[in-house]
Amino acid sequence: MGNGVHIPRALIAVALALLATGCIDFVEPTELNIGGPAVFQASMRLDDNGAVRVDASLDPGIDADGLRRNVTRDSVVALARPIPPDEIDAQGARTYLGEWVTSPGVVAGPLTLEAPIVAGVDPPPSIRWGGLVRLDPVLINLPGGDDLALRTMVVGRDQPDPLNASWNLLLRRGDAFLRIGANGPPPPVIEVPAAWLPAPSGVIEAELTYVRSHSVGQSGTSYVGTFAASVTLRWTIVRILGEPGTAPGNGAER
Amino acid sequence: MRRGAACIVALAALLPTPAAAQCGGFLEDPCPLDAPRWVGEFTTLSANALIGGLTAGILQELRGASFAPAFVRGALGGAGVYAGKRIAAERFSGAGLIGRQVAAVGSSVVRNASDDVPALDRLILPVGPVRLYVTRSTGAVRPRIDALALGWTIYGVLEDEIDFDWSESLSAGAPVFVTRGKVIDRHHDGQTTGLAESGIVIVAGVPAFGAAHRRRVLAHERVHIIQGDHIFTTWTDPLEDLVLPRLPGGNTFDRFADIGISTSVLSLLVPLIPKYDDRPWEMESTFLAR
Repeated sequence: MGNGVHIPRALIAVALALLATGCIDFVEPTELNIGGPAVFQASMRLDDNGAVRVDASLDPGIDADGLRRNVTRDSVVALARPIPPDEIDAQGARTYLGEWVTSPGVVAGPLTLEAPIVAGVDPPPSIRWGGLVRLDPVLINLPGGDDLALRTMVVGRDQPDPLNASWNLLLRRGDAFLRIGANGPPPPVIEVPAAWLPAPSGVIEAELTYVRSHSVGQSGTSYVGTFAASVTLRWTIVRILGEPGTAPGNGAER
Repeated sequence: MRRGAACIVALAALLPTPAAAQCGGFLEDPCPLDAPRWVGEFTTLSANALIGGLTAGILQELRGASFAPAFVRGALGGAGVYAGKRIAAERFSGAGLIGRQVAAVGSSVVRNASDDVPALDRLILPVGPVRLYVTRSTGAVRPRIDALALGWTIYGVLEDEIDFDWSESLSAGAPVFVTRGKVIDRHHDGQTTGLAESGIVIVAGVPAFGAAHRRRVLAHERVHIIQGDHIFTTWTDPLEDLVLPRLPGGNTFDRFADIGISTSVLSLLVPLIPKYDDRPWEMESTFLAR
């Protein structure tokens, strides 16, 4: 050690190592949103057969200390029914899928959906939206030259008011179809001129879908929820050849 | 030699496709295995045995001795290296320390086969930035400092952005440093949560990544440490032994220290294999640490 030869070489090696360290930086992880909000997204679909499907996801996020937030109630609550996570990934993000069949009257609402509870952030965002019911029987006999009138009613109030709402009606017979729609809730009566109907006679399937969406929690809040819900009503329309106004009457089936 | 080489090529052709590679970003879980786990284990074992066998066989061939016996002994040593890596990638406390020593014995067997000395006569055992050169026939134990490992350890101690982790270092059998909530950006080549360089490990101390991720990163880097040890013992140390005596003062330096350029060998290969997932040493570490 004392002859002074190996020491300079060792120092050179150390210097090389230290020089090499200039190639390393320590940086804030860009893939993390430390202190960002918990984010919940959900969509719910209902139809008048009583079928319900809920898809949702939750990223509880990372608190200001860099720790993943705890989810103290892990379930999404849809129509008062808890849906546990379908999958939880390594980063704590959750996905949910709920599918079940209930009473056809489910479309009358209220449509309720509540996000899981995440520790250390705002209360979970939720929606409570009104339903949509069909006022006609499910089977409508329509004389060949008559215009079609479909009557519906929105039941209950939306809390909070959706940011976006729209409806669309699809009338279809085989490959022929007509689609109409507009923003806002469906009008009490949707009238379709006879000339627009996709077939002069026979069975036409009608499907009315009312879609609403909303974002709960704006900038500055610690729990953001994005919701979408759709309600689908169906009719079967039988166009009967004959003079306008001579139909024997609508069917009684509902 | 020609027949041996043909056998090796045939064996390599029989090796299963590498069973695992890293999926997506550095925070993501490894890809699902596209083959049974044992296939990947067999591939890794075979590759390590092949490298050990070729190293010893070729060096003996170059020295005018027989290829085949050295190849067999080297392959056995390579299997020992695989065993060490397998242990080091486990999650129990001390896995790295035990695995590193087991692998070091395997690497020593390869080195001894290359030099045509009895399989366990000389052992090169890494202890942090120091290596113990044990000659069993004489009972001599000679410590030598790994200059680059020491340099990196000093850097780690002096660097304000990282802290020395005693328990992980003892468990890994190598100095482990942890960042303070940051990730590592090396060569501005993207971010990573772990790095093994010249016998030290740096891991990202970001709690949000979770404990499972950190355990996996540590296991991954421990395998890299063993890869570096193996390259040193079987490739670069013989090279240092060859070159240093020819330099002024080299003999004196060589008596007390090694340069320890093993990690640089892999760094030199990076431009040839720019894609992370295609680098064999990363594939091995990712597979074993999954």
